[in-house]
Amino acid sequence: MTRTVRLRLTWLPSTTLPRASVARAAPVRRRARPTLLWFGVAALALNALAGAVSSDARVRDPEYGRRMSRLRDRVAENPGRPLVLVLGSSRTAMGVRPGEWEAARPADPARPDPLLFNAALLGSGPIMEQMVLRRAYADGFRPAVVLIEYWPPFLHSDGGWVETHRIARDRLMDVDRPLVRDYFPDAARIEREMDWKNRVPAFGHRERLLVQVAQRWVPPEKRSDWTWDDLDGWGWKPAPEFEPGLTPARAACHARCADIYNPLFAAYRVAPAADRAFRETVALARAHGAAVGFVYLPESSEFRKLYPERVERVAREHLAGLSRDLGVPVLDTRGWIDDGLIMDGFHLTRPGAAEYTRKLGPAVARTFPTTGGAP
Amino acid sequence: MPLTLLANALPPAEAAALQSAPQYFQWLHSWLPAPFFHTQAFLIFFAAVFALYWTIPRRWPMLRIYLLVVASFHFYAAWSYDLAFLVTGTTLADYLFGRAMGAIKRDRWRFAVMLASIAMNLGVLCYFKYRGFFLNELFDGLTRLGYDPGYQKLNPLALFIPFGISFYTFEAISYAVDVYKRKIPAEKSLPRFLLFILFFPHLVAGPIVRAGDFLTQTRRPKRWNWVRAQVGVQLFLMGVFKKLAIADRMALFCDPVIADPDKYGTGTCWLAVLAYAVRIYCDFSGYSDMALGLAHLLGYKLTNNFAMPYISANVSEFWRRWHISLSTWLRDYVFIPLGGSRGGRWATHRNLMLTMVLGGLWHGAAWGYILWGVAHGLLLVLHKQFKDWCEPRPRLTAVLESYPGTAARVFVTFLAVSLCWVLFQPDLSKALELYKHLFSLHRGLPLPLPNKSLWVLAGFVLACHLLVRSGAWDRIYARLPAPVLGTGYAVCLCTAMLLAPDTGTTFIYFQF
Repeated sequence: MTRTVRLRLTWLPSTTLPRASVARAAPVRRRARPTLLWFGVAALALNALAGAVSSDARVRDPEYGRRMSRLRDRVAENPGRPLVLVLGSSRTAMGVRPGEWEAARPADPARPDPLLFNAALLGSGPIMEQMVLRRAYADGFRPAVVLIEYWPPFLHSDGGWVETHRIARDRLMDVDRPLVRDYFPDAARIEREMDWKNRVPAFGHRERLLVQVAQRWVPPEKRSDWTWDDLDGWGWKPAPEFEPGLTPARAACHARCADIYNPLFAAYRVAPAADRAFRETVALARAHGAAVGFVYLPESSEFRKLYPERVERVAREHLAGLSRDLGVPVLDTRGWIDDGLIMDGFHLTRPGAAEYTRKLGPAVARTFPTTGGAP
Repeated sequence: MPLTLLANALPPAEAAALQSAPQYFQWLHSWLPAPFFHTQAFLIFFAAVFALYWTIPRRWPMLRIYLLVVASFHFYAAWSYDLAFLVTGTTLADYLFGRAMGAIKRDRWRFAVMLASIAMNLGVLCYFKYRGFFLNELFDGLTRLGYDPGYQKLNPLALFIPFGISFYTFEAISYAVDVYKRKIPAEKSLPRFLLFILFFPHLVAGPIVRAGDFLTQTRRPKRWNWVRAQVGVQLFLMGVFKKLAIADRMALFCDPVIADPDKYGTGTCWLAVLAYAVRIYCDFSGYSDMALGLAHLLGYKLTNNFAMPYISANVSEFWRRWHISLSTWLRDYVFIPLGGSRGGRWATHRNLMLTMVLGGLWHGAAWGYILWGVAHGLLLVLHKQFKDWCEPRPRLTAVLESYPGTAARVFVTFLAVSLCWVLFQPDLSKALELYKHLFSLHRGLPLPLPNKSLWVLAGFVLACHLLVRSGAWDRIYARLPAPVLGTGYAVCLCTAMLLAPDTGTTFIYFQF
């Protein structure tokens, strides 16, 4: 009687070995060792494959990666035009619609128009803006101009407003390690987590992988595909469908925003990390030969009224100080758009984004008449 | 990092106790924070034990046993050092009781020693597990009658419940009874006895091993065996897949509904019941598979705990396939000593009910578990009555045993068992609320995830059952070449990891 029979392994349900017989037991015994060997090799190979797939920015951080693959296409289609990379939050993501500028631009062959591209990520403050710029340089993009969104609420970093808390850990890539060390309070732990996830990517990056093939299998609160599934070819993320005009729905949105932002304004201060991030982003862009500008996107008149006088003054002084210290121009577009085209106080509707970008394009061309250097 | 997989690794009472633990145990806890087999920390721990174990030369078998005892103690102590000492202490006492029974010739004294052993084990079990329940019930009862109980209600969260206490208590009791009945000799080797109780693959959630099965294995020389290693790996991977890819994913469907049935519609509640039935099976059998696999890798074979219970054609068969180590324990140490089925119809029914109520109480100190036991007792009684009624009706029996009849019986059994699972939770009011929504039309939210993925997973489990049941799996398995089988293992592992939800949960049976 063979060892297999003696161990009575045949009774294990659903992992049953072949029925105990000497004739069958011998091949089973012979294949045990190569089976385990093949398991080891295949597991390592699959893990490596998962690692290779998940290290692609389109998988790890599709909101960024998919924009960059579109940017690569646009740059290839428009040789010779100076690239203007617009960094910012959801305000920029929904508000800057470069496709509209493309349709409206003068297209003078003697003087190439700026090639606007929306590289904003939802929730971005100055640190995430820097993250995008660092990644873009690492990916080989060389923008002539970097436009950085300036929005006071996202410079506040107390309580629930800490910017690094808004950066999902599983979107971080190896290229972000310097940023993690520079800005994250628990950098060592996060890097350890990143190391571990990279060692077992099939597990560590599982939600990023799964959402690529079976979005509906991911719990709703964990799904991130809504941040990138409707991006257009220029990185613009359309705002939700919204009835234009001063509607009750819009008033309700404003009321919700007031509930959120009033407590923030009550304890408002500009975080030192945010200030440092702006300065370092400007230095980074300049080190790569790009011109830099700050842009303050539109806000509705109701939302502007939420700013207490102190906050308004602090923010204005901070922006003026940055502009003065760094020699960076400011495009103050805060009042460019009618209230009816602003959804909730600071996000533009789809038509609002179209109108805004048609105005922004010429303003950028005027502000940065030469490319590849400071204005 | 792997603890992001676990929502509730350390209950508040244990977390507070950890703060006052000696430095060494705090350090140990930081390395092995939870006794879960599918975590990175445990796999590193196991890899170290495994490597050391097989490095020790075969001619030093006791050294291997010492190693496993020390590793098992540390496995428990990493979670709670004082409870690890408690378990070791009671095990030591059980060993001494056993030695005493072995040495004493007079049956009356042997009986007294056995009773002392059982009383000690049940005393510890009752103190830790049932004290809160009984004192709180007494408090409520006295208050309702207008008496002052003279003490405050106990907060269940503040009570320490050593994990796995129900499992190793039953193991120790079965040892005492078997030694008393002279089915097995009293174990003379303390390390071997400690290993029998503390062996880490079965310490936390079984299977409930019998001394007669396990202690003989400790004496066999352990040689490295590739077939055994392959089976161990296969079982472990299957357990990981069941836990991560199916049980934890099913929890996404059923947990929100069970927690707050009022929000959900009738159809959703039925789907949640289905999801919970699949979940609890894959969760517990997944754990058991992992335990069996780990034990195989160390050269031990534990009792098999599941045999595809959801294809049972009646409740009696269900209990021969579900949690086999517990059901056989209850049969051998409760049902048969009570008289079994020898004393006529009513005595048999009484014995069945008592056994199942005890089984329910074994799971947890709450009315939900007790009623779950009552429900299963009633189902067993009902089945026995129905079987007796069918016996003089050969036509009906033939219809019931035909393929469609069997399919219908399997369906009815599954439905009954699934409905009983609703009771299987500490909060009885939630269970009753869920019943109300199941049997009255009610509008509400849909499942948090699309129903399709639930059906895909439930269908996968059913297909696996049918494949094995039909014998097709045996034939396929025998012909699979090593590269296909090995790659299949790897695909199984990667799929399990990929499908594991971020909201991973602990094993349901760890609380028992």
